[in-house]
Amino acid sequence: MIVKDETHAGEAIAIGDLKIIPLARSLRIHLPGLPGGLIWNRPVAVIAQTPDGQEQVLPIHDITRQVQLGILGIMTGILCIVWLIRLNNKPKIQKEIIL
Amino acid sequence: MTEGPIPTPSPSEITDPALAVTAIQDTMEVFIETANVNNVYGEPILHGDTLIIPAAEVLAAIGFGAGHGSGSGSSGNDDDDNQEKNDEKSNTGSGSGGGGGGGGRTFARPVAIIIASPDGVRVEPVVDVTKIALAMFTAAGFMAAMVMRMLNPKHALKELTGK
Repeated sequence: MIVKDETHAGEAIAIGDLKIIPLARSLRIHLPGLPGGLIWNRPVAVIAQTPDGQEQVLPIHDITRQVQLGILGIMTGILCIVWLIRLNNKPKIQKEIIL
Repeated sequence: MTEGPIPTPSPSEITDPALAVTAIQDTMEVFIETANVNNVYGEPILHGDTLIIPAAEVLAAIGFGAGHGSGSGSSGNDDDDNQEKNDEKSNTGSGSGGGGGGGGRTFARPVAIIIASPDGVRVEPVVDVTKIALAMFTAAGFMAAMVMRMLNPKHALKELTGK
């Protein structure tokens, strides 16, 4: 399996004195010997350049994905806690049943 | 930023194996183009002094498969006695065939909007409330199912006694 993770810069877009350079990150997955594969391309950041040479990097956050992953994380955490509590209480209850 | 199946020539257009290979190569080129920055950032929209650049996440998947086979053997009906008597000449044949297929799809989802104005550049995220709500409902449903299962006395007793 060939996995390539690359960050590409696009063509600079000029607005007034300002230059904006978009950055994108692509993940390529390709199985050798098989034609085809998967490409996941997403925006990473934009670089804003001022005429005096100052650069400002503005990261692009995928809020929807972050919230979705957060929900998944919370759910997994709660399930793990419940499972651990049950695992801890199981021998005590088993003893009570036997007695 | 497009969404839908990856454009491929229609099967009626492909009659020659060499053309099929070319079609696959063309489709692969279109597929590899997905990794380009221009597919993530849309055409800038100028509105007065403000420039708006939409940004999206693009996911593309594609796959091909092909096969070829050949064979030879005798032909004719063995039960037919008359044919056995009459057909002393060779009655063997051979043949070959091949086929292939493939499919692919691209998905695009808006992620953010870049707004550049004389005041500066800012990034406004695009929040998909429907997707978040769906994730929350799915998680809540799963949790409720787990709690119901744990509270079920039959299941709890079965788990504790191991029977």
